[in-house]
Amino acid sequence: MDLDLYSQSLLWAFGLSIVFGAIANKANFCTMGAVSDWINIGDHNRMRSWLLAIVTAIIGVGILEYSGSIDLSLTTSNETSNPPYRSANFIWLRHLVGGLMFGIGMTLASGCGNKTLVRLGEGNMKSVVVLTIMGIAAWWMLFSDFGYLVFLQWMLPVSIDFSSQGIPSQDITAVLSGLAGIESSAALGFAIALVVAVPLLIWILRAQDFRTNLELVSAGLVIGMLIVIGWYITTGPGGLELMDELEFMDERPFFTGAQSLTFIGPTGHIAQYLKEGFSAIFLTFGIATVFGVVVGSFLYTLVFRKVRIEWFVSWNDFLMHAIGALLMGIGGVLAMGCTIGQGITGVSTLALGSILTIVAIISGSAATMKYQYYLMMREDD
Amino acid sequence: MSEYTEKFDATGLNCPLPILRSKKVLSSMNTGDVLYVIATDSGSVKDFDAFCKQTGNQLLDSSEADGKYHYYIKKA
Repeated sequence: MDLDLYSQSLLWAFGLSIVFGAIANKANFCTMGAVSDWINIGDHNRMRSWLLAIVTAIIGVGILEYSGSIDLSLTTSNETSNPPYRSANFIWLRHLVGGLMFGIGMTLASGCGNKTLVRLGEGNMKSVVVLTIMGIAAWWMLFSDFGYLVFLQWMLPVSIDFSSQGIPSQDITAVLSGLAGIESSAALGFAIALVVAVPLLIWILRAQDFRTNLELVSAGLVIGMLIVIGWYITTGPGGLELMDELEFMDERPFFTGAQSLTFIGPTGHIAQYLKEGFSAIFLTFGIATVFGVVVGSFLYTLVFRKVRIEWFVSWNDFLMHAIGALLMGIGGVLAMGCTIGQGITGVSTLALGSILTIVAIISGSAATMKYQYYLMMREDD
Repeated sequence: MSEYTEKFDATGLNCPLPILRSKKVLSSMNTGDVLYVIATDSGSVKDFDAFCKQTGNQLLDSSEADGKYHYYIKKA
């Protein structure tokens, strides 16, 4: 059974994502919603929940890396990671521009990639349109020259290549130790993870309202842990064994290697999987996560809510969602991840690009909401 | 609940539009007036609860009937 270990990793991805989809549905876990609560209402609870997921993932990954249970050095190369969060070449413009595009897009499309999948599981048919356009746009970026010609060819010349300074990775530990001229180590990495995570955790838990909200607290903790488990599956002992096995396969599956949960690139994988007539080598870890979230959300809806079929209320509603989906598909791949893929999975590696992406996503989303409200206030009733 | 000053139908709209548009309607209303909102977004239940807690407006009633969510908000 050549694909045995690979099949196991797909099943793990599917299983983890079912849990993710059900929890995200139950707790209304949504980054765009978190930004909206903050900007439009002044409520920080969902933002704290999302940050708790990030902190949990940072600490979890820190512990696993410190103990030698996972090998995140794989994430420095495109050959061994999907995507290479810790690449030594820090193409900062891709994260800035891609993140802004994604933030604007997710606001116009009523939620990020993950939320689109959760809504689909609830019966929202708008999500089918968003998913389709997002998938085609992501496919352009991943499987054609579009991304290079339109973006990367002018972004690459201004990138910061840390390897020219002898720094092998763009994660905070490697960069700081490289610049300070001291040797990077697992202990230093864990210490820096704590320096980043603990102040955030203190801020998160300062609010009594949040501390007593079991639903949001547990959503943040569990989602953060799911991301850590995803890393363990692909970069732990089983993941490394799988990568060794893949080396000897005649037909190596696409987009293997170090990764955890992410949702935009995988929508492009689905487009390729369909284009290739369901060829098994195009059935990726990411595709399993996409379907898992939809199934998890659907199961939760089936048991605890009513399936609610929704469609666009106007052409303008359709147009806004279509533009949003396009921006998310292009921006998400350009930035190498979404609010989950970069926001939690990427940030857990403490890569500079992941941190810049998430700041750009929040900024793009917040600015779009402010502009939407400004336009509304100027509308004639 | 059946008495209200203004009605806003957010049927089919998803986050953040029900909140943004309700904010706009409320901004033109007087203190003590009641806004009746109808929505279909399942996330709107928690959104309107948080919105009222943060803004000081009073959520007089929140219910679900006929596949829709109904909110009565008294402007503070």
